Amino acid sequence: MNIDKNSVAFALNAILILILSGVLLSAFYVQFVYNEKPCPLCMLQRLGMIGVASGALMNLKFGIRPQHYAIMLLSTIVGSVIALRHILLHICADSPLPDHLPVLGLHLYTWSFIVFTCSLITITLLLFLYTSSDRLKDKTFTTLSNISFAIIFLITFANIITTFTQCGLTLCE
Amino acid sequence: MAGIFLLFAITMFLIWKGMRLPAMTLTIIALALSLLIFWMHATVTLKILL
Repeated sequence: MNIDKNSVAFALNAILILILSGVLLSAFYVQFVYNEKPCPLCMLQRLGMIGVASGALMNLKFGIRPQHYAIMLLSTIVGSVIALRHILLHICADSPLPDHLPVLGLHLYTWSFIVFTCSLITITLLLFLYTSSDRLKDKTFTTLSNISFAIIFLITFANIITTFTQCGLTLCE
Repeated sequence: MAGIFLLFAITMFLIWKGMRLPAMTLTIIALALSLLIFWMHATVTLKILL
């Protein structure tokens, strides 16, 4: 059976965006259903996830390129460092941060760290699939990538509105 | 912080329009701003903890 590596990489990029969208939507669910306002570190972790999705979107739109993976890796590292610091702050006994509701036994910042670690592993696997000939193939959006683009764009737009209503144009306290 | 989300929304719009380099530049700027806010947050919490 002959499997086109390029098509697999495109599909994996689109699936990664959909998974990240699911995580961001679940964060919205916790925010509105359990009335848990996101802290500044939580918002920065959301930004990291949107950064990873942006790199994957570039792969879908402009073809698979190492520079796009570099952006995804940079976002993953930024997000995981923030999530790790969030975990460490809650381990500290005199933590100034409010305690949050656990979801499936783990706090959202721990889930966030797990998501970033899984993203890192996925990007590494995608880099293994990369061949230099992929770069030349500029693909137009397919149905799956159109859906993932629409969902992540709507989530980003929703984040602008919720962050603006919570903090305005200033830094969140 | 809403501004950084806005930067990402603009990035996605630029990707949609097919402008690769401006989109990459904006993403890197947005990530750098996120790190800057993280650094500011870290120094404030360190002062509280110490």
